[in-house]
Amino acid sequence: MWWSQSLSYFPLNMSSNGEERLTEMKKKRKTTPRITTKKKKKNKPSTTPQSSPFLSLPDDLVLNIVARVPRLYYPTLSLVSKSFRSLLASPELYKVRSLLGKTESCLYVCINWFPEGFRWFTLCRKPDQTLTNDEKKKSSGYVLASVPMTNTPHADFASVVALGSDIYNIGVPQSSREASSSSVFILDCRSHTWRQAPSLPVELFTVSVGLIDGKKIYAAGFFDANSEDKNSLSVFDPKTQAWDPVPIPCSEPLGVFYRHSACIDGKLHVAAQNMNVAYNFKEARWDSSQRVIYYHMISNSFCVVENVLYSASHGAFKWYDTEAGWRVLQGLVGLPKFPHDSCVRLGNFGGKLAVLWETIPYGNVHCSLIKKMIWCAVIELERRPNCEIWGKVEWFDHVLTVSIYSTLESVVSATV
Amino acid sequence: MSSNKIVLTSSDGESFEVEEVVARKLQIVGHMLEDDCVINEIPLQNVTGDILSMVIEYCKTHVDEEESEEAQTKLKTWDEEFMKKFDIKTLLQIILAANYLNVKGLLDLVSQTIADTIKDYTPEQIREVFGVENDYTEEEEAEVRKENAWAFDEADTPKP
Repeated sequence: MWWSQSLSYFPLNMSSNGEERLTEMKKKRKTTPRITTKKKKKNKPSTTPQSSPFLSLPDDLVLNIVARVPRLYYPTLSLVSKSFRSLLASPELYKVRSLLGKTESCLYVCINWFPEGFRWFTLCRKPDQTLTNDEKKKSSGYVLASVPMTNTPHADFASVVALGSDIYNIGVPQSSREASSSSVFILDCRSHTWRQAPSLPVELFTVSVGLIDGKKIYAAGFFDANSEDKNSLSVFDPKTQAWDPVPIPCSEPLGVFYRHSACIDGKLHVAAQNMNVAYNFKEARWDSSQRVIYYHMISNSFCVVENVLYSASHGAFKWYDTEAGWRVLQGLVGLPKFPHDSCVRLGNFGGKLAVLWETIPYGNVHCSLIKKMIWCAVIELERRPNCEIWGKVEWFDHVLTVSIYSTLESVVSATV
Repeated sequence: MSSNKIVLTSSDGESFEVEEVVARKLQIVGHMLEDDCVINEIPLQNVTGDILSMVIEYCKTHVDEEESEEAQTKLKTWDEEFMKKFDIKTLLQIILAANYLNVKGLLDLVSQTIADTIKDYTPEQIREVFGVENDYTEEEEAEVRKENAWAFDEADTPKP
């Protein structure tokens, strides 16, 4: 197998002695030819490492071990060697993870990175042994690790949605010469490669995307139909990898669709220029929608978790569902107050709420040297009687430092 | 239940007399017994006595796997305690033995234990464990270090 070349193994009979022996082995490894297990079967456990051959650890055993390591640690594992890095992106590994029931939600964060363009990061945990005792006390150990990838498409806070192990980026112009786009890019979160998918039926000027009952993807926006602005709502079926051929009719007096939409209980609420509407997918019907839904979406800090819309605007966390309307998210003990002008992004992190925000540290540093700090909090959500939702802060921490010109774009979680 | 005894001999000549039901937990032995039912001494070429004794200890404990929740919890606790006895090097020897002797339950248990252990290792330590050579070139390594500053340097984390 392609990664097996560099995988060898401790000598079977190596006794458990400290660091010097490890270093010795490391030096030795380069010169000792590898021989098969059979030749060493007579060795007694007392044999010194110097005379020991190295065994190959069978590929399937390494695969079986690595598949059981939580994905949070993969960025560290990928630093081990190139062969390890390819193992971590291999379909075989994800097959084993799935067979072992080890698939999990992984948080991905898109940042409009100055000056290169868009970059993706994934939440990871520093290995425990790299943290000093002081750090263990004050740090959660979580950081955002850069995801190495090529040809990263431009993205927008409302253009990104995750379904299964894929992240979809829909309808964003890929150059400054374009004002509208029908492009669809898919990021495979196992191999971290982008591929193109069938384009939208029309080129959209604004786009907002989301999931319908966690199964299909919608894209809403407006397009130019012979110099007339028309709304469009399209549905993508990930199974057939195709857009629904029959367009959903959108009545025009609404005015053009904005980039704020949320699908709750099978109903898609979209903000539009003149009024707000909701499309009922089951009954294939447009209804009017309450204007109030959008009050807390304007900050672009919102997401849907299990049919509840969450928002963080002006430092307050609120939630909305069809029955309760907007209510304050209770609890959140320990969560720091965000600066008023801070950019905040919310994401559904496998049923929990991921909150990412920016802060600018004070101090009289030269302007060009000022860095922005990206923070992350993970909040567990609990629905209680009397129409209350409580948020318990699992952890929060500074996870990345970026240039002052870089901005948080979007937060999603893929299942891998 | 059969009370037939089987003698298992390790690569370094150590012999273990075990009940046939225990020996059958080693699928490699199970297959041999099916092929020829009169064997009562089995040489196991690829495993040393000290490792074989641990595998046998596991098989003895797991010989009757009861369905009841209580029994399962008890076994799980035993497994955890059992695994705590070993350092990473011994765990790696056990996984090879479990693979060779084909003891599915032990293979899963050790794989999970090694996974839980190495997740907190630095890249250097993981290279040591798996005997992997760092095949990044100097330039690539510099690039990797730059991209992953989080893993290599410990920036201060001011409060918001």
